[in-house]
Amino acid sequence: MDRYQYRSDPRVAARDAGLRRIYQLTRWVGFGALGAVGLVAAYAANANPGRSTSSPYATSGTGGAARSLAAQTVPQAAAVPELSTGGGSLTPPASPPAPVTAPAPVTPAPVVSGGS
Amino acid sequence: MSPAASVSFDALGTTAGLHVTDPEALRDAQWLLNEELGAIDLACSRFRGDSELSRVNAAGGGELEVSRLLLDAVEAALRAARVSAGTVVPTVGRAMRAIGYDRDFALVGAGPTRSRIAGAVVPAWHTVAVDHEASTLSVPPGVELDLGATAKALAADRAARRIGTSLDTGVLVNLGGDIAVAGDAPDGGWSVLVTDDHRDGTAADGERVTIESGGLATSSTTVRRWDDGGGSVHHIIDPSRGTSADVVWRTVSVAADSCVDANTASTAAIIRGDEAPAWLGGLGLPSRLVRADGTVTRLGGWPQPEV
Repeated sequence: MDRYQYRSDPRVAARDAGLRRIYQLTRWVGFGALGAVGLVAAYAANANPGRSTSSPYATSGTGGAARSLAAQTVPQAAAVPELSTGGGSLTPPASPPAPVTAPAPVTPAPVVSGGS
Repeated sequence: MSPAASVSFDALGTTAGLHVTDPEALRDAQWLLNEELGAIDLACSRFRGDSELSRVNAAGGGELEVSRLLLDAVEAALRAARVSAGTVVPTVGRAMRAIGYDRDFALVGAGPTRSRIAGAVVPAWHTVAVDHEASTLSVPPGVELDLGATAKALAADRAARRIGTSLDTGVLVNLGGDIAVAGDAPDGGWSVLVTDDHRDGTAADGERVTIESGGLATSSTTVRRWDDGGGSVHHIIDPSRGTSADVVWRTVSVAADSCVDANTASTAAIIRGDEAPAWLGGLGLPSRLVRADGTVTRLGGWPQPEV
């Protein structure tokens, strides 16, 4: 059972949905930009034989409009998605911890669970 | 699946780690995490005068209108009290001040306590009530709340769920060793080193496991420990005594369906002492308990260490 059921504030739910659409759109725009730059580079190479050309492929994630998420102000506590907790007992995870098997999983940065 | 991307930074008086399976989602994920952390801090911090919790504690009891976030946080704390049979309770605020934990831990021990009070009896947790319809929190006079046992874990759960849903990425949120995951884990799962102190990094002694769902939390009596003038104390209060719990286990790690549940169980195990293995075993929670002498007990399917 999903212990945490969001009773989403409509404003926050709309913003998160919008964020998801922007994120997906940016990925498609990025791919489109890659393709467009490739076409331009190919044309330039053919138009100017013997001259080297550089192909400034758009780096992943920056091919679309800049997202000024950082400009958004932190909402007041009341605007954060609401949670309702339930369940009358502590519940084990759906999949328990497992031993590390070779080759070790790819986690580029250390994840440490210790006291704090 | 492409390699994960990650970032770490200071937050909530500890270290926050964010790991996503889709590197393109990292920046937006960090923004969402920062938003959640800011909201939790403003609602639940006992150490900032402008927090809602500080306002509640300063009110001296009564029925107060508060934010939904604080209501959810108190409700999570009350549930922790209920499922731990009154072992992990939010009514330890005054007891915390009595042992000198009256400010951010980085400042504890740096000078005399500001609010030294005599030893405190921990009030019954069920005297606190939450009314979502009225958006009010009822606290009896003389009761001070501390949400330290659940708020950080709640923030990890909320952030992981929100990032995984909004950005369609696997995610692991680590707040000072309280870990919540959401979405599809990387191949082989998220690799986690379990140790006494989350600050020691991957060079520390401990065990490495992989997780793919829910939460994992570690409670320890070795990190937030100081001398209160009458002897060494730590931050985990035994509500039956109103002071630091006796140390049977120096560190307990538990995996559960959520980080809040994992942290509730690991904290309760510290307090329960010798009763902890039977209690955790009865719940079927994968657990690793380390005695003060370093002896390790593994329960509930916690894997044996790699050879």
